Amino acid sequence: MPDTPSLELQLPKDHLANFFPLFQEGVEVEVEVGHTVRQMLMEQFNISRDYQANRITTIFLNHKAVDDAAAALIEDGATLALSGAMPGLVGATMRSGGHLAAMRDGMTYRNPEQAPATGRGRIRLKLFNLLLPELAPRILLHGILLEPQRLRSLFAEQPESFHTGGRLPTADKRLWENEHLELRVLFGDRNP
Amino acid sequence: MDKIVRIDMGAEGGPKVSFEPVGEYAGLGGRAVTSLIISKEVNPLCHPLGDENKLVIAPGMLSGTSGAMSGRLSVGCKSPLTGTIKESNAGGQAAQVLARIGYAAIILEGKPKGDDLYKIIVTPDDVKVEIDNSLKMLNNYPLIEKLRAQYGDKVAYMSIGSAGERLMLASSIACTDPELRPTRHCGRGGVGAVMGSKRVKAIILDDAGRKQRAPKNPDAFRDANRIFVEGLRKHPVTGEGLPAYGTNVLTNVLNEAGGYPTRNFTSGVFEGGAKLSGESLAEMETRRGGKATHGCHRGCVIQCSGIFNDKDGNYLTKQPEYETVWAHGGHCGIDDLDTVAKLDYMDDNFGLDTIEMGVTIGIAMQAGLAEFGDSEGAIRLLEEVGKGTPLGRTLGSGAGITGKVFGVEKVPVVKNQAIPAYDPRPIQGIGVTYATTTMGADHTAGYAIATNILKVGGDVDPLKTEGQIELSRNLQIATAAIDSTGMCLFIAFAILDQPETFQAYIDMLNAFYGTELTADDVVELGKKVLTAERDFNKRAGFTSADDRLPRYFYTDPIAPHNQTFSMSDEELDGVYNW
Repeated sequence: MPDTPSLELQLPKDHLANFFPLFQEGVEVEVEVGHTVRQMLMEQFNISRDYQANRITTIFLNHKAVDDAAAALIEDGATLALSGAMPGLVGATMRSGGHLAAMRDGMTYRNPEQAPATGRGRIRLKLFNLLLPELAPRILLHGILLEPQRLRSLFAEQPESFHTGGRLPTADKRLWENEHLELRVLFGDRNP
Repeated sequence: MDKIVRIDMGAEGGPKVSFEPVGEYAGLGGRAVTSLIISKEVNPLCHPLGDENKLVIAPGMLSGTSGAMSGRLSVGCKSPLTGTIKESNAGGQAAQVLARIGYAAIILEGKPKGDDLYKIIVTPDDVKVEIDNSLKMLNNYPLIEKLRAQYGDKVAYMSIGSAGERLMLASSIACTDPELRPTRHCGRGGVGAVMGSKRVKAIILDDAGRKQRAPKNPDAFRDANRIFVEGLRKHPVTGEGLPAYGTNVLTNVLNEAGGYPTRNFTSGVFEGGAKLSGESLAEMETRRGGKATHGCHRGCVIQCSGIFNDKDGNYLTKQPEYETVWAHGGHCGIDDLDTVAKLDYMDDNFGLDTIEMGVTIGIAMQAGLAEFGDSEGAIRLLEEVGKGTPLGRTLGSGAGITGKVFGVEKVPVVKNQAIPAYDPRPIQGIGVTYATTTMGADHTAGYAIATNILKVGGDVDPLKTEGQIELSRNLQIATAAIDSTGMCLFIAFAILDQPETFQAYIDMLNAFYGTELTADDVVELGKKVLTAERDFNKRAGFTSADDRLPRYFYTDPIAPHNQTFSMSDEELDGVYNW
C-alpha cells in the first residue's frame, strides 16, 4: 500500500472493545487473494488450523455459508465474515459442514468455475461475537484500511477517558485527505 | 407432581376447585401434558374464548428439582390466534414453584358469568379462587407490584396485562423471574386472551414449606446432573456465546447470511444490523450498569438473558431476545436499541407477544400508519394497544388481522401466526417447519437440533437438498420430545455435539423417575405428542392446504440471494409421514 498513508497507534488493552463496531460492519484488509480461506487465515494472520476448526465454526463468503474453509477460494473484493458457534436452529444450520447444512442449500458457498486470480488484493473482513476479542488484535496489528471519516467518527464517539490512551494526529493532513488510511494498532506494551 | 388441580371457572355458584390423581399423565411434563389434555378434553370446534376451551398449565418433568435448566413452564389451549392447538412455554420461576407444590397441571375450564375478575392462590395446602376487581386493567408491572405487597417476594406470579383482559389475540401470560419482574412470557398464540376469557388475572404460586422434589435415585441423579452441567459449561454455545451475548448474538450472523427479514420481508439484509447486534447490546448493558449475563430462573446454567438499563442507568427491561430485537428492529427498519428495549418493556407490561406485535407494527408501517424506521411512530402504535383504542385492538389482534383491516397484500403469517426472524427463502428448511408445524409459524417448533444423536428417522446427508423435509420432520419430533420434558430448548446445542451430555440428560430423567427411558422412547414421546396435536388440528378443520407459506414467498425473490421458497406441496405434505 505504497500510496496509502499509515497511522500506528499504541493503546491500552481495555480500548480494544471500542474497535468492535468497526469489525462488525467490516474493515478492509490487504491480503494475498486466490487462496483458500483456511490458507489465508493461517498464512497471513497466523490463525492456527486448530483454532479455525474449533473456534471459527461459522463462515460466510460473500453472504454465503462456507462448509469447507480448506476449499473456498477468496477473490479480490470478497467479503469474509467469521463467527463462533451460533445458537438456535438457524445458527446451527449455518455452521460450517454442520448436520443441518441442507436446510440452507440455496445459500451455501460454491467456488466459481474459474478460479480467482492470485496476487495482492483487498477483502472486507467481518468478525462477530466470541471472535472479536480473540482475533481483532491480530487483525489490527496486521493493519486495516479505513475511510478516514470512519476513524474520526469512531474516536468522536468515545468518552473522554478513551482519549487519554491516545489522540488522533489531526494536524497531519496527508492522513485525512486520502480515500483510505492504513491503521495499525498495538494494544498494551510494545514488547509484551 | 402426583395430582392435577382442575378449576371450573364457570361452575354454578362460583369457581369450583377439584383435585384428581395425575393418572395417565404420570411421568410426563410440559408440552406432553398440555397437548395430550387439550387434545383429549377440548372440542376442536369450540370457540377459543368460549367456555369449552381449557387452559392447561404444566411444569416440566424435572421442574422443582435440583436439575439444571428444568424451569420451563408450558401453557396449552386452543389458540384464538391460529385456531390450532397451542403450546407456549416460558422460563421464570413459575414452573419450579408449581412443581414443588406438587401439581403436574392446573386446568382452567369453563367461563364465569359477569365481569368479576379473579386471582388464584395455589399453596401446598389449598387452592383458592378469589374475586379481586381492584386488579382490573392493571398492566403486568404495576399488577405484580400490587400483588407483592400482599403475597410477598417468596412466591412466583403468573399474570395477564390489559391485553389479555381485552382478549387480544396477541396477548401473553407473564411469569415472574427471580427478581419478581414479569419478564418471561408464554407469548405465542394468544394464550393470555384464553386466561382473560376465564376472567383469571393472576395466579399466585406459593411453595412455602416445600423442598426440592426428591429423585428416586439421588446419587445417580446428582451424578448425571453434574455431567449435564459440565457439558453445558464446556460447549461454546451454551458455555460462552449465549452467556456473553444472549440469543441476539444471531443478528449479525443472520444479517450476514442474507436471512434477516428487513422492512416486512422485502430484503434479507438490514444496513443497521450491527447497531442492533448482541455484541452491541451486551456492550451497552454493561456500560450502563445492567447485566449482559443473567438467568431467567434459578437453576439456569446458561444465563442467556440480561438486564437492560436506560441511558440514566435505571432498569428498563430484561435483555430483549433476538426475535424481539428483530421484530421491533429490522422488520420495522429501526436500528435503535433503546427504542427496541422500550417496546419490549411495553409488550411485557401490556402482556403481548413481542414477535406478533413487532411483525404487526411492521405491517402497520407497510400500510402507511408510520414510516419504516420511525421509532416514535412504532411506540405510538403500541401505546394504542395499551390504551385499547379501536386501532389498538386491531393491532393487538396480530399481523394477519391488521393486514386484512388495512389491505396489506403481503403479510408473513402461517395459520395466522406471524413468521419470526428467519427468512424461509434463503433458509428453506426452516420454511418447511413454519409451514407444517402444528402451532402456526414457529421458529422453536423445529429447534431441537439433536436429531443426529437421536437418529430420528435415520441419518440425513447434510449436504443434500432433499434432506430438508426429513430434517424438518426430525427436528419437530425432537423438539416435541424436549418440550415434553420441560427442559430449556437451549440444551439442544450441547446435546448436538456432545453425546455424553445427551446421555446425562436421559440419565437424569431415569434417575429421577426410576425409569429406563432410552433415546428411542424420547423419540416416541415426541411422535405421540405431534400426532395428538395434528389430530386435534385435523378435527378443528385444518387440512394440508393450511400447511403452506403465504404465496408471495413462492413468487417474490429476496436479496441478496434472490431466492424464492421452492419446496413443493407434495414435499410439504410428506413431513408427517412416519
